[in-house]
Parts: sequence; structure tokens; C-alpha cells
Amino acid sequence: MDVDAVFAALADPTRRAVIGRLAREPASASRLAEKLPISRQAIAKHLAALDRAGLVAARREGRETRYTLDPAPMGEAMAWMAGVGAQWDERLARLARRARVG
Amino acid sequence: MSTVRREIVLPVERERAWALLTEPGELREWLADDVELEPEEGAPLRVAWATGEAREGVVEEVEERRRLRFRWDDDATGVPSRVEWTLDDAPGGTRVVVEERPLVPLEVRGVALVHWRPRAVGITALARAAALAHA
Repeated sequence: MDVDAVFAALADPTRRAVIGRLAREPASASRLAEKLPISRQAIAKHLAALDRAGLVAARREGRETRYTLDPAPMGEAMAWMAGVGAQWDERLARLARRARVG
Repeated sequence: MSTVRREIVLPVERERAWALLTEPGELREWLADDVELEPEEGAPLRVAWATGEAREGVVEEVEERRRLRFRWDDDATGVPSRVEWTLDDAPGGTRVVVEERPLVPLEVRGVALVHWRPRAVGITALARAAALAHA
């Protein structure tokens, strides 16, 4: 396992958001693009980085490739923190918008 | 260890910030699609999303306009956790600090990861029940 690749993969907030999503359920790149404010192309690049770090496993299902989180390289605690942290980032962004509108 | 911490300054007074964090109508705007919460110690908590996912818990501590603490379960990961929201006056509004920590020990690295399943992170049902009972 390449520890540097794992830390590099986790250093990026978008990749942490992807991990946060995959911690809830396996998903395809298109599905992730629907849920996150980035393009499918960018998602694919991030998934490739996570794959290189051994953090996701890709499985072909029909015409789709579904990605599953493999927390082993980062440990259960880091996987949990990345997932929960990404959820709060999303929730607090919505809370801030709500606070601004009144 | 394993505590997630986030901080945000909302451009509103404490009173309004407290309402945003404790009124179900407001919580439905940012936390989940359906929220049942009463800022009262011992009150049950239920949070649900349109996806069908739901989480249940209980309010543990309330300090009006200052602090709300609750714990909730999580079927998606199998890890129950405790959440604390703390409000403070800040330049330009109200600072909200969010902290969430797991109620069961998580492996830092390797070892227990054979238990990892997409719908239940590495914690046996027994350990989880015990943690909730003693929380």
C-alpha cells in the first residue's frame, strides 16, 4: 500500500466529498456527478486517483461502472471521519444559504 | 480522537441561529427532508431523507441559544454517534461549532476491517447495541 498516495488522495476536498458519498452507498460516476457540484469528467479523474490509492474498487455492471469504497488503506476511523466531515460540509453550506435568505 | 469538527459564522443573531438549528421547519431546509426534533432533553429525534434513509436518536442536552447535544444511529455505516452544536457570538453574527464523534471504537488502521460492509461499517450489532445502552 502506498501511504503517500492515500494521503494525497484524502488531501483534496472534492475527493473527500466523493468518499463521503461512497461511504453511504456504492455509486457510478454519473450518479456522483448528479449529487456533487462537479462535472462527470472531473468525478472520473477523482475516482481514478482514489482507485490508484486503493480507496475505491470499480466493478462493471452492464453499461455502468459502480464504485465501492474500500476503507482498508485509510482505516475505519479515517473513513468514518472523511464521510461524516463531507456530510457536514454539505449541510453547513445549505445552512449558510438559509441564514442568508432570512 | 475521531472527532469531526466544523465551524461556521452565520450572519444572524444568536436567537435566529438557534431557530435555524432547532425548529423542524428550518432544519428541513438544510439538515434533511424530514426532521422531528424538540429542543428538550430526552426528546426523540428522527431525521429522514427522500432517498428512504432515516436516522433516529435522542436529544441529550439543551442549553437555550447556546448548546444542543444529541446522539443518533446510522444504519448506513453501523456507527452511532454523538453530535454537539455550540453557538457563540462572533463578529458579524453567530459562530456555530459542530462536533460529531463515534460512540463505538473505530479501528485506526487494518485489523477489524474484515467486518467492513457497504451498509455497516465494521461494527457488530452487539457492540453497537452495547454502546447505545451505555451512551
